[in-house]
Amino acid sequence: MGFCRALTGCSLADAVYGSRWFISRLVVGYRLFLTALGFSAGMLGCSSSDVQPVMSNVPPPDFSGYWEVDYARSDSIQNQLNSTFREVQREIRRRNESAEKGSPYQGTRLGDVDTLFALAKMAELVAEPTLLEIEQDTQWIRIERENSFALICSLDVTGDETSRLGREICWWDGQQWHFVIQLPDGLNVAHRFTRSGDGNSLAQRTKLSDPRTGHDFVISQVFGRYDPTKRGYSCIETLSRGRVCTTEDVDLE
Amino acid sequence: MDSVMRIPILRLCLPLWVISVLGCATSIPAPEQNPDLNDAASIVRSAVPETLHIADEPFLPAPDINVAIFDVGPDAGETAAYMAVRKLESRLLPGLLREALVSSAQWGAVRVVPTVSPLAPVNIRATIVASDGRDLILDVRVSDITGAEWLALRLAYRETAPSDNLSDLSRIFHVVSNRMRDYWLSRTEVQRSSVISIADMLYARSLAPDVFSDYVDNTGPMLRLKRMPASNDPMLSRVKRIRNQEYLFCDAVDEQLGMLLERAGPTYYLWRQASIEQANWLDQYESMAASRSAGKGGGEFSRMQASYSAYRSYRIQEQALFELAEALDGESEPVVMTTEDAVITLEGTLDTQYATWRELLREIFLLEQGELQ
Repeated sequence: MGFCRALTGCSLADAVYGSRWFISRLVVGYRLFLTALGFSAGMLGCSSSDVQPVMSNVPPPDFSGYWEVDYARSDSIQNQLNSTFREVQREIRRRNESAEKGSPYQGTRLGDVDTLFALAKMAELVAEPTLLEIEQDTQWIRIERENSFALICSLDVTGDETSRLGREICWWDGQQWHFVIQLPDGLNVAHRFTRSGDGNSLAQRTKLSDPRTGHDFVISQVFGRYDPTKRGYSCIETLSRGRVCTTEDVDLE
Repeated sequence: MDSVMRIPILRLCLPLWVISVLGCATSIPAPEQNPDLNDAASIVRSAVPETLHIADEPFLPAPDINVAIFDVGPDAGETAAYMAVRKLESRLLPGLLREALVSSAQWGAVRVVPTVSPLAPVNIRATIVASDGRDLILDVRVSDITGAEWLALRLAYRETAPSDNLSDLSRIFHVVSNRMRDYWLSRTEVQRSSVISIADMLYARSLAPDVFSDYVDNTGPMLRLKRMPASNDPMLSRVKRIRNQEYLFCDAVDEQLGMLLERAGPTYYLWRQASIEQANWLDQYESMAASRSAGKGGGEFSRMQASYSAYRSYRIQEQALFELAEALDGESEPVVMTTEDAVITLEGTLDTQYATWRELLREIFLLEQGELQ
């Protein structure tokens, strides 16, 4: 599993190479068959959108505020990849057993395994923002994400914006905000946002899918509230020493 | 145009150029005609903008031209964020059209005004049919105060490579200036003078209908000048003074729009650049995708990353422009006008300010007229 550990820090080429090596050990002789099988099934059109965009009349709770990712309660890409990979292994094993028995196998489609690893790497990119700033009123929600574009949705109607570069659909289903981004090459990125009852946690579930693979890649992140004015340190620009940061004084009152 | 023939992309541009040249020859309407914008001859598809005809000196008499703020098109009621950009464009693009007309050095004063009015003999109205940063489609109509429609063009422009600055975009309006010139030159000197005089009389009539109603014959389809008041007519002098006050308002608006171009121009320009680059990238991507079997090869991550990054980059640029456009849209600066004995602050939208100012001028005129009587 060295390549999995390396996935967060190494180049893509290394990761893909590692994955290929691993798979080749496990599925000698099957790889081409599975890839072709999965690809064919993918071409037949396997839709990954399992939720219908229907706007709910139930008013959403207040999501507004500043949120930062809570790593302790969030998935790591590496763990998710390991988990997905174990699932692939199990799937392959079941197929092997079926093939040995000579019975036709009717399991989930595996698709192109390279695509699955590409999805995992993409998940890193898509789930990169660790800080969110959410503005909300009775009609709109705007989720500003650090180093990325904002997710904006109206409460009146299901949002649907299409351009040549992609389509963005959003809606509130009564419990969660959905934002689905469909890109022209088939990549589908679906975000769901849910707020905890006490209003102190926010969960973001991101699902990446692609018609070339039978497995979606899902990653969940949990965010907690933070006060951007109290970061525990403060910085000032000085003439002689440049930017100087010091820890903030503890307020004893 | 000859220089265009020599450029290496001749094969690509030749059909467009031919359409453009044919358009030049056939789409100048007779005054009594109403050109059809759906007529192919009225469509100018311009990949390489025309060269601007620059006069050594203005043709006299040179008419003043009003360029009305562009219409945002049939989706005007939309609340979608892109409409904020469209509204911004509707105020930026008239400035670029004015730039082209002024550069041609063949007209009188060219002003951008909130709405068409009898202030100038020639009015230009335009509607933004489509605009996505790379493709720009505009319906442009030029008419004079007599009711004669000079021309109606549909400008379909695609920018293939980002230009160095936003002013380069004014080149797409060269064709408008050139065709207006052709039309104006096709009129006799008497006809040209008549257009300017009718504009004077109509403006005077808008202030004092009883006094100036008999100078223009409006019984036919086109307005016709019957006679002119004496050049030393005191009433006409006062009309001119009021008119100058209206010019002052237009100059104040002009100044505001100039500042808008300074503030929003760079962001708008960046948005156009990003749109062009991304649209070009998508074209390449689509042609690559069409020429290979999908999913083949080992560049799955590269493919996804390129696709997502292009979308992300486009949305970031777009949202930055939306924010700016919305901020500017809600911001209608008051215009402070100074008359001889009062300072008047006009507030509200430009249309409202203009209407208020015109009404004030009319009241001033009536008051002065009353004193005389």
